[in-house]
Amino acid sequence: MPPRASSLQGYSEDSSLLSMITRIRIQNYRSFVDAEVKLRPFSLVVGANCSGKSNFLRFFVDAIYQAEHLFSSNQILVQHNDWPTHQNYMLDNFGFEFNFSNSTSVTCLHGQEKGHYLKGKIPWKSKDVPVFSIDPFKVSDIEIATPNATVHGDGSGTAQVLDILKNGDREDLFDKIEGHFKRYVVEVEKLSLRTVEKGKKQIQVRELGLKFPVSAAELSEGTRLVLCILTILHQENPPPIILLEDIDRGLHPRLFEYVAPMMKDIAERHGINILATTHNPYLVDCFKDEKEAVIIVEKKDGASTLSTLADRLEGLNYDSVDPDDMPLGNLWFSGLVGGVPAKINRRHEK
Amino acid sequence: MRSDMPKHLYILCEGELDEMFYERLAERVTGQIFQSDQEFRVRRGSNWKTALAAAKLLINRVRHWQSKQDIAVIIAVDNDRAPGHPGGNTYPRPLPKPDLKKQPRYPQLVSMLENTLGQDRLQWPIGVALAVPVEMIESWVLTLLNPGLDELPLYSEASSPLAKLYYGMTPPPQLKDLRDAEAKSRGMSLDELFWEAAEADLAPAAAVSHSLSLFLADLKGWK
Repeated sequence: MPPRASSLQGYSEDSSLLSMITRIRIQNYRSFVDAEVKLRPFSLVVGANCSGKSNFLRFFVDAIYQAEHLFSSNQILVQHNDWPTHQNYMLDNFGFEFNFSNSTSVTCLHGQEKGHYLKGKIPWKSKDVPVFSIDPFKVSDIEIATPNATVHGDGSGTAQVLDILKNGDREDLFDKIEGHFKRYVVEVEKLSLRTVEKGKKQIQVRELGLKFPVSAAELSEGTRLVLCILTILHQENPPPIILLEDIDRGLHPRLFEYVAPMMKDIAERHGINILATTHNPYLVDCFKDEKEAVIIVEKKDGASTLSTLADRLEGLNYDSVDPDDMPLGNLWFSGLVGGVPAKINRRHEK
Repeated sequence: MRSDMPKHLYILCEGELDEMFYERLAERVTGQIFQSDQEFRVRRGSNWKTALAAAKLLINRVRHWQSKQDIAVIIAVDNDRAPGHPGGNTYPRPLPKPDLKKQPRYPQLVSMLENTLGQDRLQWPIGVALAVPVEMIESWVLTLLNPGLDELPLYSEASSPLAKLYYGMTPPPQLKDLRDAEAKSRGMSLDELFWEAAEADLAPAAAVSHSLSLFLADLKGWK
């Protein structure tokens, strides 16, 4: 992890340490042949099922692993298993490029002819950058209180992190999580942890109108997901890149207009990247003032491509219609900017 | 533009079933086989302004591809008792207020196309056909399958609040009710029913549905 200045948020407030990724290029990785795109602090990733959205998120983990591994050992240790290449395209080169907000860059290329090449340094470890595909049942699990806990990719560790914040010296962060949680789920009156047995904790919630707190296991899946996402964002040592699968899963669409700005604000203020996949047009609507932050993943001839919604609006003359008549979510759903499922044949020829 | 390549057909409609129906009619009327690899959709339940905006943006989008492809477009939207359709209905009873407030769909689509592609339709760089069934796609399906049918109902389902307002009592079966009954009596799925309708004799149906005849005329006008 890069050195972090102490701050009340848990993130660095020192702009000299900011290292948000502003552009990436992916070469010959899983479904990607050669794709590049600019990133915003909070980027929303949309596309049809099986277009490569999940591969896009996994790319960051594998790229950081490659850079970390090569840099730490200063020798070539790359195996193809560590970097799954495209099955169809027998290309010589594979690798990636990152550009950062502080004008630095990292290039990692491996080629049959040019050999292996690494320029620059990524200051993170791959283990600190999970892809979050949250299992609500893991969020409500009984967990053993552990120092230095973090939220894991499946959502486990949420109770541990909340316990550390509440009972350590970062109650401010716990209060922040509780505050957002109460705002988004108005039935929640109080968030706390109950000791199940010695050293074992479980999240519990006091709901308005109920006499006794209920355990997290009794909360809806969506409520557990909201709590987990808030904990990921506000934990003391959050990931430098937050990769969230299906962020809209279980969330009421009305919450999007609160959750999206909150994530954007956290990412911007702390110079980190948040990338979240979604299939929900209402969430896309929230990006009307930041069309370059919506990344469209498409697959053509077996290869995934990347572009932004802003790119796709070129030539469409979107300004010629009232945006209220065609919100961005509708526009994406329509297929006019791509990122929709392939044609389904329903013909009944005899 | 390569003349030896099949024409690309882009259809803006509400769903795959509608698309299959319109695509098959286009094939039959023009005698052409189309490339149709992209689907354009208006979300069900969208208002008219959204459909009109989607149509305009589709035209904007595909006209840029016209230098590389031979292109045809079908814009499909139900008339839903909107005024001003040249093949429109007369209504024996007063329409409910929500229907009276509707904007004229067919004329607004024509106006949008003329503003975007030019006043002279013969000079348009792409073929465009307007599929604006009076009152819904089911009207055309039912007419194609039974051109001798007496007057068709106006609403989607007998349970629809607007149908109840219009009839002022328990409405008779409406278009989707009749469609479902037709499919049931023929032992067909909806996909099969729509395909069967698209394969039916066109002339008798066009003789009784002016909105259908307008659509077929648009298709015949494609170069």
